[in-house]
Amino acid sequence: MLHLDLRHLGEQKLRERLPQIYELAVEYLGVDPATAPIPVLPAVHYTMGGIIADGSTASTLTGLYSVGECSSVGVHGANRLGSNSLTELLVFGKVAGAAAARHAVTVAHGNGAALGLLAEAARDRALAIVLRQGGGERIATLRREMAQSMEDGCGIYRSAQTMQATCDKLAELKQRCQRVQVDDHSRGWNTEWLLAIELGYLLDVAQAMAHSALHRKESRGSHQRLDGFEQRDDVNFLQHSLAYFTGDDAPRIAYGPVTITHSQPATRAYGAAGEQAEAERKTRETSHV
Amino acid sequence: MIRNAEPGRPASTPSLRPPAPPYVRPMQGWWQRNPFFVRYMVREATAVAVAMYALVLTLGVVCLAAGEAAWNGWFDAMRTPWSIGLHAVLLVAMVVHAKSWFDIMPKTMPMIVVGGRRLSAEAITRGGWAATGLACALLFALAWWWRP
Amino acid sequence: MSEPGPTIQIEVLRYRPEQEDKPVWQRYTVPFTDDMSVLQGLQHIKDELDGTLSFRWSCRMAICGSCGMMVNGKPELSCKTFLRDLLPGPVRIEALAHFPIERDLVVSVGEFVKKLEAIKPYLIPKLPRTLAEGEYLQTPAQLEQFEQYSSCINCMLCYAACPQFGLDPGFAGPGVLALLHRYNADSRDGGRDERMPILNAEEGVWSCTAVGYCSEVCPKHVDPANAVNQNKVNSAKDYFLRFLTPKGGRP
Repeated sequence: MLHLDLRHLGEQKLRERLPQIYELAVEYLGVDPATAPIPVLPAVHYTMGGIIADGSTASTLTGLYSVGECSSVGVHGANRLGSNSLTELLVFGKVAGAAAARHAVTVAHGNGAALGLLAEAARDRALAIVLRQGGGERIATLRREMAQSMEDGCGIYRSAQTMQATCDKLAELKQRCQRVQVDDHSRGWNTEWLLAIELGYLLDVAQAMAHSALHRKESRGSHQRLDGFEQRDDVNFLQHSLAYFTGDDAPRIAYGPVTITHSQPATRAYGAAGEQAEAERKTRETSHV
Repeated sequence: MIRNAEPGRPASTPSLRPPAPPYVRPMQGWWQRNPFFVRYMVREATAVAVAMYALVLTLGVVCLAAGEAAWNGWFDAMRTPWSIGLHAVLLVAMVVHAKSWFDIMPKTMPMIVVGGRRLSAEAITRGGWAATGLACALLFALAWWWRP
Repeated sequence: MSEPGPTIQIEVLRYRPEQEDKPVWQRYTVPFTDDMSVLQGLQHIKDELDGTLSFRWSCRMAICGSCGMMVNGKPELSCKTFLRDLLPGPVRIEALAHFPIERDLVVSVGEFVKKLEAIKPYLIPKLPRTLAEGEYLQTPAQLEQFEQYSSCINCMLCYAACPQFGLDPGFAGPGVLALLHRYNADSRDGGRDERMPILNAEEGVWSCTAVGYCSEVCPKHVDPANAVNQNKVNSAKDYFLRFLTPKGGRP
């Protein structure tokens, strides 16, 4: 078990600067960070990438704007730095709101009849879940198997073998998801129905991640392989992975260019290696002046 | 009436009907459901004791103004066993009143900073008791000095 | 499929408007581990035993304010209440008190949200300020004036604790008034005049009788009782001083 030792900060500083962490440790674990080290585990915290979005948060689908964790404006690259998620929301949230409003005011009305048919088809797909009797698959079972498979195959360290196993598992789960069965057939506050709908989307997103990872034959940011592709490959893979929905099959993986303005790709080193890399970088910058 | 959940799947689709409105739970007996509320109601009830004692004292002042006979009548009434019993009850109630009031008093005050540090609720409550102690001591001293 | 190992009984007040007119208690047997929260117990029920149980939740770490409910008669965040502290059970779970029940453990929150919006919960600058003038500077002492009140996570446990709100749902209530005070007490804010009508109203601070239970149950130590009751002085000052100066006492 790994521990985080914050005792050197003392109780007063801990309560003043890290109040939430302090309370979490005390109330959930019964551990006082001022007197004992805190047990820690790695956990999934944030999803990099997402719906492709340009500088005004517009996607390739006209009228769709996305911002935040679900969106990929491109500012975070392959690994988001701490606190930048909140800043991103504030900055691009305003941009998205303004852009969406402008679009809503200027766009011409679509074909109402055609849109109505699409809407009815979407509604029928959703209704099919709540109306279905039998089927045999439970939401929580599928969700757990998906989470375990992603943890095993697309976790911190990855190999072709583990990622392929995850891709196969996700294909199986997508099939089984067609037979998901709910206990709740009511229409008001039926949160189980919502969970069933979301399970389908979870599997779609998981597939996009797993297949993109399998095809990326290098290591970059949070994607770290142990099967001969441990290093960065800027020649072949300094590109965004683009996952295209194909329906029931696996997503189609394509690539798009990366816009680099200021920060060049570099090795993120820690500890002594990190200090040395920082010193080298400073020397380079001052010698350019 | 507890309905035990069956193991496995619960009953399948019930016949759906127009939904009933959001359910509003009654407030009757609310203060009996939680010891915190019982203590609150006791605190509020002690105000009645304070009012009663104020009435007794006011009556005394009125009798004092009405002349020696009236005053002696009031004074004698105060020394009867019933009166002493009532005063004992009122004294207990007023101590409870003081305690519960001093406990809640910090909540009524804005932030007070003394010497760069915020005055704690406990300090404010202790201040209340200190003032009470001082006032009682002064009263007893006065009564002792002016005893007949 | 039988579950070996210790279990605990959880009783939940159900309400399915499409099925019944009144709430009814239902009991579940849930496998118990030492680190399980009440929320995890409910999630086990929904995942494995009865998918029809509806309840709100999100962060699982006492910061989103979604999972407020009555646990053994006390307002709690279910993610921060542990089954190990409620042994041997049964644990009684009910929707947050003083709110109408929409379904199972889900209460109507629309009125609360309206009250939140009404107090203008954002900084209203005293004077217009350009980006070029830079950020506002505050001393630690100025920060201390409002910091604890900014910890409110809108969980509404204080409303479940407040009998005055239970008796009169029109009362602004502890959480909203504490948030109002948070902005009034912020040195950057100049919106006090706009917020006074809410404070001064009969259903503003004056419906509070200092029960104090709201501050007891607050999971973030906001102390709403303090926010409300110290503003009774401000409200009174505002009332009397308005006869002396045109703007009710402020120079």
